[in-house]
Parts: sequence; C-alpha cells; structure tokens
Amino acid sequence: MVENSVKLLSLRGIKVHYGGVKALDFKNEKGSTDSVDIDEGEIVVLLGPNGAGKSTLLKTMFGLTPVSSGEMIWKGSKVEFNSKKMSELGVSYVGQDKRIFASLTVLENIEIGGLGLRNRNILKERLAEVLKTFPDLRSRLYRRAGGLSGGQQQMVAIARVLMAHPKVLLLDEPSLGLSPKILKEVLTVVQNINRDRKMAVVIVEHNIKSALKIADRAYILDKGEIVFEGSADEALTNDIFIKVFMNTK
Amino acid sequence: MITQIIINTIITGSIYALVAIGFNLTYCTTRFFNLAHGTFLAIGGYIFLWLTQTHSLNPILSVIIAVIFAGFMGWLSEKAIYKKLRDNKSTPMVLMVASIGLMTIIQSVIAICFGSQFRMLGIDYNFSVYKVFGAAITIPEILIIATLIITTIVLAVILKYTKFGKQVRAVGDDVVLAKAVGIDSGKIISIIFFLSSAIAALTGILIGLNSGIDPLMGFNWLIKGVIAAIIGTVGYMNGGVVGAFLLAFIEQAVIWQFSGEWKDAIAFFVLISFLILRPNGIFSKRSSHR
Repeated sequence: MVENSVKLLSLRGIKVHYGGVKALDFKNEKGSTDSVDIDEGEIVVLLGPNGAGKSTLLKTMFGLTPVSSGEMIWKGSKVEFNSKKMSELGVSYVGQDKRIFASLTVLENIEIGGLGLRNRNILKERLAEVLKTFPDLRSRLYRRAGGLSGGQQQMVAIARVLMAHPKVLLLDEPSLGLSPKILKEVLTVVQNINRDRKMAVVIVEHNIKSALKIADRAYILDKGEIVFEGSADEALTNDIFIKVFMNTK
Repeated sequence: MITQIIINTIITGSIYALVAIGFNLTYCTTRFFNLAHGTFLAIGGYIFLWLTQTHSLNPILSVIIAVIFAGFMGWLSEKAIYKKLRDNKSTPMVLMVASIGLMTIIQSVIAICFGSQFRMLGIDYNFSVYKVFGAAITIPEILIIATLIITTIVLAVILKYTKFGKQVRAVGDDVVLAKAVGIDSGKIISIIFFLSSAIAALTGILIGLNSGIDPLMGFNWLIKGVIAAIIGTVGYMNGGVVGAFLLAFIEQAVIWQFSGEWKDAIAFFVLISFLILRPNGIFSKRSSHR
C-alpha cells in the first residue's frame, strides 16, 4: 500500500493500547494495511463502526496518544508523536468533545490559533482572512464562545485552527451535536477551505454519505485495523464497507 | 473608630486578597487546592530575615532575592511533585494531600533552620506611623495596600491582553483542549507556580515587616485566603479580592463589637454559611467568565 513518493504525512506500523486493550494495530497476521498516508490538498475520511479506532488514529496523527510502536513520517522525515511539534509542522486538530474555550470570547478563541505568530500585522491579516471565510462570526467577536450555538462553536474551532495556516486539518466528528443542515454548512466550508488553501483535511465522521461526498479518499477501520483504503467512490460500493458496517466480517 | 475599622479592613483584606490571588492562580490552571501555597509566605519572610539580619544585605535586594527564590521553589514544587502526580492521572484530592505533605515538610525545615519562635522583620527599620482621618497606618501597611493594587492591575492586564495571559486562561478553561491547540500547558502551569509563589513571598515579607513571622504563619494566612477565594468563587480572580475584603470587614466589625477571640470563629462561620447557602460563592454565575 505504501507508495514510494514522499507523502505529506504517513503513519506506519502503529500500535496503540489502552490499558492492555488494543485500540489501533496497523499490522497483523491477516495482512491488513500497515500505513495511512495523507497527501497535500486531499480530503481523507476515516470510516468505521463505534470503537473501530478512528478518533484514536486522528489523535495519534496529532501526537495526543501514547503509541506502543510505529512511526510518523512528515515529508519523508521521521517525527516524534508530540502535539506541540505537530502544531509547529502545520497540523491542526479539532476534537469532538470540546472544541472551544467556553470562557474566552470568540475573538480570543480565534487569536489563540495564531499564538505562534510573532508579527502583529500578520496576525491582523490572518484574522481578516478568517473572518472573510466566516463572516457570521464578525458580529459575535466579543461574545463568550460558550454562549454560541453548536454550529457556531464548530465554526469558531475551525476559524481558530485556520489562523495557523495549517497544512493538515484533523476534524473529529464535526457533526456531533449539529443538525444535518448545519453539518452541510460546516462541510461546505471545509470543502471551500480545502479548495482555496490546498489544505489536506482528515475527517472522522459518522454521517458517512455527507463525508464521502466531499472526500477524495477513504480508509475503513475495524477493531483497530485498516481494512480498506481507496477512493471515496470505491468505499461505498466495496464489500468490506457492508461487512464492517453490518458487523458480518 | 469607624475610620480605624475601615483602614484595618483594607489592610487585612489586602493581605487576604494577595493570598487568594496566588491561590486562585494555581487553582484555575490545575484545579486542585494547593494548601502548600501559604508556606511560600513563610519562605519569603525567612529568606528576607536571613539575608538582612544574618548577612546584613540591602533590604530591597533581599526582597528581590527572597521573592525570586520562593518563586523558584514554587516552580520546583510543580515540576517535582504536582506535574508527576498529574502525569500519573492522580485526582485533585491526591494532589491536595501531597500539598499538605509539602506544607508540613517546608514548615519543619523552616523551624529546624530558624527556630519556632516569632521573629520581627521590621525591628531595625523604625517605621513611621501616619494618621489618615485619625486612623493609624504604617509604611508596611501602605506597602501591602499598594502591592495589592499593583498586583491586581498587572495581573488583570497580563491575563486579558497578553499572549501568556490568554494561554493561562485557555489552560484554566480546558487543559486538554489547550494542549490540542499546541499550548505548552506544562510550561504555563510552571510559570503560574513561580508567579503565585513569588506573590506569596512578597506578601510574607510585608506581613513580617508589619507584625512578624513564624514557621506556621503560612497556613494561618492561607486559610483566610482560601475562605476569601471560596466566598468570591474559587478560581475567579476578582471574586477572591471581593471575598477578601468582605471577610476582613466582617472580622473587623466583630472584633470591634465583641473581641479579637471571635475573629477566627466568625471567619469559619462565614465559610460554613457560604458552603451551605452559596457553595459556589458570590460570583457563581460569573464563574465561567474567569
């Protein structure tokens, strides 16, 4: 599965255990895929039933999970599993549990995404750029982020990570707590950002059809293993998809 | 008489507020009751005593050295104890118990090195007493009030307008999310421990110059600072200051009406009343605005 060309981000032979229980295992006797590769500017969706290891994989990509073995490669060079390092390289993560700092204002939440920027002019430029992408936030800048609706909070979270001009955006369950209409809006924004900024996006999403609609490629995970890798179109029609989601594997 | 009660309320309230500010700083970033915080008052006082009375060092230089030393000790306590416990997924209760252990160790070491007796820091300075509307106030007391005003303003500006302050508030809001956005929460917490311990040390020196120091002084002042923090909603910086002045006013009014023996009893009566009637403090509705 691993191509020779240099990928933006690759994870190889990853094993993650939580208290002795397997959460991720890229290489096993059954010969499942042993790597996950992300290319520049593509949208990749991670699919699988509950407990398949999708969110763990996303967290591992951002260095938030202690791994038992395996390696992470960034543009051909091995990197350590460390969230601060990954941020510096240009990887941003929006989790599923808590996306925003509730007690901070919308503006402060967004500014936190630009903490690494030393030049105030660049910070202002980025802020203007982000507000152009999310015009609805402009009138809410000085409101407490905790008082916003779920959809608006998701927008604030994405706006925050965009401040750093990431090369890879990791999105865990953007639909959580959102109505289908708002999810559609969020995914449209993600698609626009991907198109305009050539930013790779990796999404974990239970709303499979909506996610595959905007994705280029998909990985299907089952019990911590990668059981499918292919185009978004292939994923829906593949036998493995049915087996995994019907639990008949 | 009323003027003196007001002045005493302002002085005592300022000390409580300085203790509450340091306590709240560590609480809002780590979410545990750091009961060792008070001992940094004693560390500051005793280092100042050692430098000025044993080594005859310049008092201002001694203050600077004592404050930096206490700040460093606070930083070390976070690195060597609390961080390791957090890494082991210890609960806030375990961290609080560890802080009681650290407090006992520091108190014992101070008693071994300097003795347990009460020591005066201001004895060599012969501070003048001023009259404000008929009420007496000394230079160390003016310095205590000035320190509170400066500390409150500087901290408010730092927390609201600087990158560091935003990171502190982000860590206080959600440490996991802070880590996920690339904030080095360990570094932020370490700096907060340095700052809060340094503030405590400066407060300890000023208390020592005004009245005196003993190895157990930290705990006594800490208890009042914690009561003030609870009254003003734990973790809410401005609330702690309001709680401190409210507590000080109640204490002073009771001392005036009855006697000094009632001071601690009324403080704990106020605490218990708040725990029953308003457990999250005066500013509970604003607690999420921290």
